[in-house]
Amino acid sequence: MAAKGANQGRTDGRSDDEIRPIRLHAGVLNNAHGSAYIEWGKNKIMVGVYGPRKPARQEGLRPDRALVRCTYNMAPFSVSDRKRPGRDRRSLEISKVLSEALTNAVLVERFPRTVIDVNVEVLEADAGTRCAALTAASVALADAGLQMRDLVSACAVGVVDGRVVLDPSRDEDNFGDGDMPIGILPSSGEIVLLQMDGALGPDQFGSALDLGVEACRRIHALQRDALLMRYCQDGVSRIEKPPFSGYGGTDTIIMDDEEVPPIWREEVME
Amino acid sequence: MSRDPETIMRSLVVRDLIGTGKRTDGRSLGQMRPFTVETGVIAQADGSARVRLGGTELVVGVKLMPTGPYPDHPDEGVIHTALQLLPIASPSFDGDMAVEATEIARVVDRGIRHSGMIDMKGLCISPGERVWGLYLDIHVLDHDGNLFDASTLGIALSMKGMAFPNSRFGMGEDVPVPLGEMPVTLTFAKVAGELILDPTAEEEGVSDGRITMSLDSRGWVRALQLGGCGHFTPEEVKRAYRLAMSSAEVVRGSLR
Amino acid sequence: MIRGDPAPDGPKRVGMIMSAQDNDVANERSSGNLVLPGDRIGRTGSIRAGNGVMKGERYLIATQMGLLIRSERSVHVIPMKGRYRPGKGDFLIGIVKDHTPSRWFFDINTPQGARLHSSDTPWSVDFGRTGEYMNVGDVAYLKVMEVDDMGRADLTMKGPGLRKLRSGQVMGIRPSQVPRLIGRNGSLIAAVKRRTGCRIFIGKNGWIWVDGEDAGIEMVRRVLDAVDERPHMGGVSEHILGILGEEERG
Repeated sequence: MAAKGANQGRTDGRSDDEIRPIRLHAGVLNNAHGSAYIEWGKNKIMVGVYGPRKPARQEGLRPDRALVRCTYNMAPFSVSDRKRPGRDRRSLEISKVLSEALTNAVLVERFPRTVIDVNVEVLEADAGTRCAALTAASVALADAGLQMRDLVSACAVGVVDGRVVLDPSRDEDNFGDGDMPIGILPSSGEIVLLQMDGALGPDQFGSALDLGVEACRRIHALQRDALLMRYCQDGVSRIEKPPFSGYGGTDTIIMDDEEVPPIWREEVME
Repeated sequence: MSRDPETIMRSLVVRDLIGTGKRTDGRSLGQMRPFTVETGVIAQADGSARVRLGGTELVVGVKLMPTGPYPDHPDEGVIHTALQLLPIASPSFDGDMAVEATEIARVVDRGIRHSGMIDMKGLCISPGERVWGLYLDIHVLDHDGNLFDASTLGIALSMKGMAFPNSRFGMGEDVPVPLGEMPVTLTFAKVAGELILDPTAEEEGVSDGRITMSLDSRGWVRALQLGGCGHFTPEEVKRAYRLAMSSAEVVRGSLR
Repeated sequence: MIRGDPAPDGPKRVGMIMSAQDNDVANERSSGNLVLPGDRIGRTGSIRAGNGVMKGERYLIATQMGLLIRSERSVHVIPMKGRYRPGKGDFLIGIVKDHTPSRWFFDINTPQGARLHSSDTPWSVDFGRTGEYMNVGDVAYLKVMEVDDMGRADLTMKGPGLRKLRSGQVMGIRPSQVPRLIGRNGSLIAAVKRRTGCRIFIGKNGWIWVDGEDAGIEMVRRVLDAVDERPHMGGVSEHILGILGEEERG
C-alpha cells in the first residue's frame, strides 16, 4: 500500500497505514477451554476462555441467553510504574466494552443461564491493548468451539500532526491529537467496538473510520491463519506454547526429562 | 487434552498408582517435570521470566522503585512479593483466591528473603529516607500444580543481570544489582503414604498434605511450610529434607 | 453489505483443506474445508442449513470452527471442539452431584446439568432414601428422555443396559469425537475392548467409563488421547489399531 505523508515519517518509521508487527497463536493454554496469545508491537496479551458454564455466583444470569463476561486485567509489571493488582476504573470500562463487542459475535441465545468467561491478561502494554485483546479474545472463543456468527477484528486509528494514522504507537497515543479503537464483525462489516478520545474533525472522521475498518479486515486474515494453523501443523491438535518475544539478555533454560535426582532414583528401586 | 479436571471423576487410580511407585504421567516419585524458563520477556519490567513447569505456566515481573524504609530497618530495602491466582489459570479459580495466593506469595517471599540472594542493606539509597523497593509479581496463567517451586525459580532467574534503574529516577547511571546464590524451592505431596516431588494439580487434589522447603546453596532450610490439611511424621519431614537436598542439587546443576 | 477481500491463502496446509472452488461467492468455503465462524458457505435457500450453520440474509454462515460437510440437500459443520448439547435419546455417562428425597442431579458435561427422578430407575426407592441407592460421585449409564428450553435434560435409568456403574473410572474425550471412537458399526471400540480386556461404556457426552486391569486401562487412556488429538484427520482407526498392536507385541 502507498505510504501517505512519507515526508513526515512516524516515530517508529512506519507509513501512515501500516500496522505494527503481529504474532497471533490459538490454543496456548492447557486449562482454558479456548485460548489465544497475541503480540502486537510490544503488547503481549494472553486470553483464556471458560464456558459456557455455571458460575460460582448465580446472580446476573439471563434466562434467555448466556452472559459473556470479559475481564480485562493488567499485570503489575505490564506498565512502566508498577500497577497495583486488581480492578480499576479503566480496566472496568474496557472489560465492559469488550464484553459487549463479543456478545455481538457469540450466539448467546444457544446457552441460556450460563456464563462465558473471557479472561484477558495484559502482560505487557504498549498502546492499543483493547484492540489487541478483542482480536485475540474472539480467536480464543472460536478455539473454545463456541457457536459464533463471526469473529471480531479490531484496530485503532489515530490522528498525529493532523494526519490520520493506523494503529498509533505509545508515543503517538500520548502526544497525538486523537485515538479511535474500532472493532468489526468482518463478514457483515458491522461495527461492535467504537471509542474515541481526543479531537477528530469533519474532514477526517470519515476517512479515519474507513481506514480503521479496512485495517480490521487485514487483522481478520491473521485471525483466520491463527485458527487454521492450530489444526494444520501436522493434523494433530495439541496445545502449543510458542516462546515469547524477548528483549536484550533473553535466555532460555530447559531442564528435560533425563535429569532425575540420582539418590532418589535408587531409593525407589530398592 | 480437553479433559476438564472439575467434571471428570477422580477415582482412586492416581493414589493406587503412587502406592505402587508410579505416577499417571509416567514420572518416578522423585522426578521433577521438565521445565523451561525464558528470561527478559517483559521490556517494562527490570527483570522478568516466563516459567513453564510441566503444565504450569507463570510470568514473573520484577520492578525496582525508590520508596521509604520500614522505621525498624532504616537502612534496608523493602521486598514485596505478590502472586495472582487469575481466573484464566484454572476452571476452579472462579472465586476469591486471595487466601491461597497469599500463602504461596509469602512462602516464596521467605525463601528469597532469607536465602541471602538479595543483600537487604545493598538496597539502601539513603538511610532512613530512601531505599529500593523490590516488587516481585507472579502472574499465574496455567495451573497444573506446584506453584511454589515454579515461582521461586521464576523470581530467582528473572533477577539475573538486573540493574538498579538509577537513570529512570534521575539518580545517575544504572548499576548492576549484586546477587548472591539463589534458593531452590521444592514441594512434596504426601499421597498414599509416599512423598512425591513436584505434584501436578491432580496429585495435589488427592494428596494428604504438602511440604514445601526452600534451600540455600549450602543446603540450609530457609523457608518451610506444611499445607493441605495433612500431617507428617518427624521421620517423613526428615526424609523430605534429605530428598530436597539431593533434588536441589539436580535443579542447580541444570541451571549452571 | 460490505464485501471483504477473500482471505489470503496463507501457508500451505496438510489434511483435507482445499482452496475455495466456488468463484460465485466471495469467501465461500467448499465441502471438506476447515471453516471458521463467519465463513460464508453457500447462498441462503439453496440448501438446508444443518448443525453449525446459520441462515443469514443472503448467505449461509458457519457458526463454529469445524469441518464442513456438504451433502446433496444439506450442509453442516462437525465441530472441532465444543461442549456437549444433550439430545433426546442420547445414551450418556453421568456423575451424581447432588440428590433430594426424590431425585438425583447429574453432571453430564453440560453447563445446565440433568436430573433423574427416583421413579425412572429399576429400583423402587422410598421417598427420602435416594442417597442409599446412589450418592455424590457415583457414576451411571443413562438415557436422555427430554430436554427443556434451557438445555436441562431429564434422564432415565430404565432400559436395556442402563445401570449404576460400580468401581471403574471416567475418562473424557471431545464429544464430537465419540463417533470416531466407536468406528464403523462399532468395529473400533470392539477391537479396543477385545485387546485391552476392559469393560467400556461410551457416553455421547464424551465421557467414557472404563474398568479392568491397570495395564488395560492405561492402554484405553492412550487410545482416548489419540482419538482426542486428531479431530479432523483421516486414518484414526488405523492409528488406534497401531497402538493396540504395538501394545500386544510389547
